[in-house]
Amino acid sequence: MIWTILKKEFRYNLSTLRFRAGIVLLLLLIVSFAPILLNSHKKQLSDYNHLVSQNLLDLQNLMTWQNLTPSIYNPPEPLALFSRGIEENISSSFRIVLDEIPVLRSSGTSENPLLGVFSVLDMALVFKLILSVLALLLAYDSLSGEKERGTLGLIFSNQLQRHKLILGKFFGGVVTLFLPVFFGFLLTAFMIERSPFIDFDAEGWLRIFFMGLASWLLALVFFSIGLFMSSITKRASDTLITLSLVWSISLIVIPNLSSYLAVRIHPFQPRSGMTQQKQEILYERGQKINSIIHAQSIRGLVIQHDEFEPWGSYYRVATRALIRLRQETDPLIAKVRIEYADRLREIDGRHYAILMRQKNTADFLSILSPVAVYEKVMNSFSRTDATSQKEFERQAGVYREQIIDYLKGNEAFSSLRYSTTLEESQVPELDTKEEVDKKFAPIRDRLLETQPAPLEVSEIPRFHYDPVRMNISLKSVRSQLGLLLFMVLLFLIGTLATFKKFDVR
Amino acid sequence: MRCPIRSDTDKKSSAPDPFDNSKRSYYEYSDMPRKSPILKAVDLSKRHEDGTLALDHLNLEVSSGEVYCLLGANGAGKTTTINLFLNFIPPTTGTCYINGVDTRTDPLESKKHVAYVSEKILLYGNFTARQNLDFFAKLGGRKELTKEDYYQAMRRVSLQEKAFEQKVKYFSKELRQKLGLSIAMIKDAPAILLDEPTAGLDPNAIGEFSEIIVELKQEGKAILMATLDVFRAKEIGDRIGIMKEGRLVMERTREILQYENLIKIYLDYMRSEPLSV
Repeated sequence: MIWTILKKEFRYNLSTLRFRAGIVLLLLLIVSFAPILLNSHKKQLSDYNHLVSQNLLDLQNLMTWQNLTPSIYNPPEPLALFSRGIEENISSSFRIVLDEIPVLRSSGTSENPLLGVFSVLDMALVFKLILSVLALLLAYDSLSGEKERGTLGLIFSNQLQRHKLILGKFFGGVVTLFLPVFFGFLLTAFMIERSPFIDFDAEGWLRIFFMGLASWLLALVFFSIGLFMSSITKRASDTLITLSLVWSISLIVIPNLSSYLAVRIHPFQPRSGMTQQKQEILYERGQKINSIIHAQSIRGLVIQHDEFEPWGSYYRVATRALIRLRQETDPLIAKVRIEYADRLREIDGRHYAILMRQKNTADFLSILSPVAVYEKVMNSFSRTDATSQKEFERQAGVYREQIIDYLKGNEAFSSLRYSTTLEESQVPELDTKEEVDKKFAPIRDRLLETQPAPLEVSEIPRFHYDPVRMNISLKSVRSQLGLLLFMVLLFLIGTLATFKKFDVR
Repeated sequence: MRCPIRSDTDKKSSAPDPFDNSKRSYYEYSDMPRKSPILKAVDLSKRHEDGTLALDHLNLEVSSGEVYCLLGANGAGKTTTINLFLNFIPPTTGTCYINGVDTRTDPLESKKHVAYVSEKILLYGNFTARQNLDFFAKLGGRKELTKEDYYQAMRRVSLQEKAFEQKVKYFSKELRQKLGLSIAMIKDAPAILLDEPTAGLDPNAIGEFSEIIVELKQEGKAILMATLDVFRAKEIGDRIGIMKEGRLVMERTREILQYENLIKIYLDYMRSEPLSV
């Protein structure tokens, strides 16, 4: 009997204008949006490649170790065309410096970049809008509509138990809603496959498969909500009105309200307070660096001629007194800068903890919205969620340590090439003002005639971003997937319970 | 639960009192030959949650090859009776039996023996007539039927051939009712419940409908038809019961009605004072 109902539901759903219109609209939106998203990715990729090659070029022309401050870039995530997540809220690059440990920063005006925004154009937006509406339209008159058509009484004049009708209708919806998800993702995959800029590996396709599964689950949540509402209202029109309200609340109200409330529940520390704390630390660091410099006895005159390279300036020519001073103080100053970077990171960490608390609270409050839960799943599978951004930050931090270790390992802080391109024999020893006035200019002019060789950088660690693995994504979304499944079962059981008392006349 | 078998000593020989049907069915005071009833209501009452008494101690039997027409104004209890037979609502007191099966204790088994046609039958508009028939036939347990069987069933109710594969949303009420009747027929159940099946049909369609019902009767079906149409009831009913305010106030056989004016009796009952007064 369930099979008979399922087949009938499936065939009937396919025959309805709403289903056909829904699937056509879905495919049309995919065809319209996919090229825009693919072009956007192409541009991002082009910008990224340009920045990375420029960075490499700058590195290859590096003159002094003190200017080893490469930038690292988060490669554009091709899966982001499915779900942009918080990717656009957060700056996608870090400058690796001694003074600072990489910290996620907002790229826009958002106070908390970890909180999602609604109106981002991506495939998830298309799927969540169309599938939720389609599922509700298929379900809203499932029971009340049957009653209005006079078919419910006719059905129950046969040997059919009530729960079998509900299960038949539910599984009919399960099969029906598989079609838009399947064809939607198939079309998207086809368009991606045709794009020369995206080449997914097996894991990429597996992620897309899971996103399809999550989209199907979202559709089923709305379908079961529709079934449930249809079982507690007497008329299909009443069901539709109620479901419109549920849809709006789920899609717009809860996600935005949860973010709003989360910020109110865990307010930010006043920015001035954080800035002041940082300034105090920077002042303390400055004092310490000054004391290191003042502790040294300067033997001779300190004078230099600076030259610029892309990541900073260096001494093209400098007196021996200055070079010695730098050689003696730079290792100590570097140590202080590294130490204070940790202290500055603590302040950023406290701010980040508030951001995370806000995000977790918003996530908790939004569990009432299947759309919000779905967005989190899609963000995670698209590697555009907070976990992925945090992973980029973590790897940037590790890279900074690798750079520091490399500099330490090569005794770069105390080397001549830390601050100048001069060789030992080229360093002028000018102790008096007369000597400087007389000799510095000719020495400088002579030295400037020759072009110093850049540093040997082939051994410098290179940054390679290793994206979040599938098992981590799965682990982070299993509770959300479970929640979506729970919602489906909850409303299905609710429907089974309420339909027992449904007046089928 | 099977219907208790009544002994012949239960029969009453006294003349029927049309206003006292609370404990007895027509067979209990009739001399007509007994057939085992396919549809049987025993002391059936229904009081709605708002306190309205929709049905008041109804006793009724419909045998194989018999058409029982329930006449009465809107709200008289005709549809309630059918709903109780179909177990769509639970009775307050009393029991319904279909082919001897208690509809309350074994509703699924009882529905095996009954087919139903309602007044409000829009069916699945996006399905063709055959697809509608196919679905309900399968629900009714007829899984072996072929396309030709469906066509045959639709021919029996004089549905035009061109309508067989036409979507039902384009059907007139008459065509939908015919299709509804063919759905009931294809189930091949011994009992058929018809709830105002001719309401809203033109006289020609009603005539065709009546012919089909007579055919079904001749095939041995027990037919209980709730109707407002006193003329049609007189034409096809083997027995006619008049209901008023939930009570079966009169019951006559076709034979008796040859000597009585059903229309006058019906109108008299309709115009009479409310029973509660």
